Amino acid sequence: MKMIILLFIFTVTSSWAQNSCAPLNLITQKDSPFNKIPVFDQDGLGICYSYTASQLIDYQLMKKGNKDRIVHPLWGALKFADSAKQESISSGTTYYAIKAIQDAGNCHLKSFDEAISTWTKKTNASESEIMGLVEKLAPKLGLLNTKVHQDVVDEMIATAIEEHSPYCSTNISWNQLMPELRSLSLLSSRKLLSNLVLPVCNKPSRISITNPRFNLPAQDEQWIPAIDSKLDELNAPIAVSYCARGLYDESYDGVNRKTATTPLGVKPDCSNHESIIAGKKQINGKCHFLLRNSWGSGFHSSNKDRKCLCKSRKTGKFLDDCQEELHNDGDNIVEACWISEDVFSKNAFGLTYLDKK
Amino acid sequence: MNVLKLSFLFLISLSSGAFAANCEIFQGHQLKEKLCWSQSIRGWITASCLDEGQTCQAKKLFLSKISMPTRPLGINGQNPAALICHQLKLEVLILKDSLNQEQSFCRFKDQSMIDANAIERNVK
Repeated sequence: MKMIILLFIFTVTSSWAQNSCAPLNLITQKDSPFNKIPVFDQDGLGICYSYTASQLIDYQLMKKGNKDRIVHPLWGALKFADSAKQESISSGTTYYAIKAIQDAGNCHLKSFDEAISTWTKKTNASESEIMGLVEKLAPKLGLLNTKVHQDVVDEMIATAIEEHSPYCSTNISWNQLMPELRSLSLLSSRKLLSNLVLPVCNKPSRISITNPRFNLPAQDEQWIPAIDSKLDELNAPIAVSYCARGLYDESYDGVNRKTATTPLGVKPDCSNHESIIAGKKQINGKCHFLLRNSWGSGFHSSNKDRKCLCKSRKTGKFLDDCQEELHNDGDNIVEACWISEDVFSKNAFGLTYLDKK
Repeated sequence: MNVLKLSFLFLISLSSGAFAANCEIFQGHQLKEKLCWSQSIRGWITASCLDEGQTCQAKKLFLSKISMPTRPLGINGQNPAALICHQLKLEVLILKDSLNQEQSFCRFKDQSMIDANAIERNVK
């Protein structure tokens, strides 16, 4: 009798193991919205959470019939900072960025781009260069007394520009942006960006998406079944919060799970990050998840020795399991990379997705 | 004679084809830059840097050993490749290729540019 029970348990568990991690690839699916959502590069701006939020929203809206993207990642970051009453746009969560866009409405990507271009045209700088300076300068000027002489403000701006200049193009004319930079002694960076986009984003339109959900499995071993089953259920991407250090060192364990006596915590060197999971499959008997990062479309050392999903510039065809050593040839764009379940079970600390209905 | 001529022309076209550069126009808000793929650095570099006998700072950096005390890891998802450009006191630009995909580049004082990932992969 014991043998029969054991045999039954073995059969059930092995069939579960075989059925779990069934292959899914949302990027290569026919008419995938990801064809129109580029692989982003967030540079030195800490708004990964808004890159993921905008992708989850645009993916769902395009599945419902939208022809193109409509959410600018900076809009999501701005609305998040507004709702959290946070002075800076850096640092946030996908869940609350989606909530903020749901509540405030959306300023169309093209309108937002148009507003930002008034700064980029004035200065000849890119939007990340400008936002980088604004984010650095705002907290410093914010500490000044409001009655301080303008010379002091100008001197602080000149110092900040000098410190920031190694990070920027040489032909930038920051002088054109002095009125806006000076106003940072009275406004936060969030308010400054709000004022800039207000003339074109004064009537945000409501977006019709399902509600966001946040999931936080309690134990390491619950993470992989949770991601696996959620991908199957939704057939849509999920945003994962994780320690990016795990991408460089597979043995790294960045999360201390909550216990009866201690709260959930991440290690100081975790390098917290959020990215999109757009698929799954088994590689060498382990479940791997297709991670779409916001670090640009090239091969990065975090992808060393990994299998990735590439797309040919010339033909537009996908090449699965491409690798840096063999396929880093200028033709292949890295769409996403396959990351082992071990990385996420030890380093994930949040899953955000949009409800199915 | 004609056969010889034809074979010569065929050989010429074959060899030029073999060395034809894979180039792409990358664009930013204000900038358009022709970058070519270099198999030796496994990355994109300003087209003129690949001309024979041409020296440029982007190529020079790559020929030297790139070392830094600690490899930067970002906060809130900052791109480590862009942070390495920052640490090397180079300008960072995000440009889009013809397929609208984004990528970071480091730019030198002589205006030559190189793929930030190529630098990031070679940092010791």
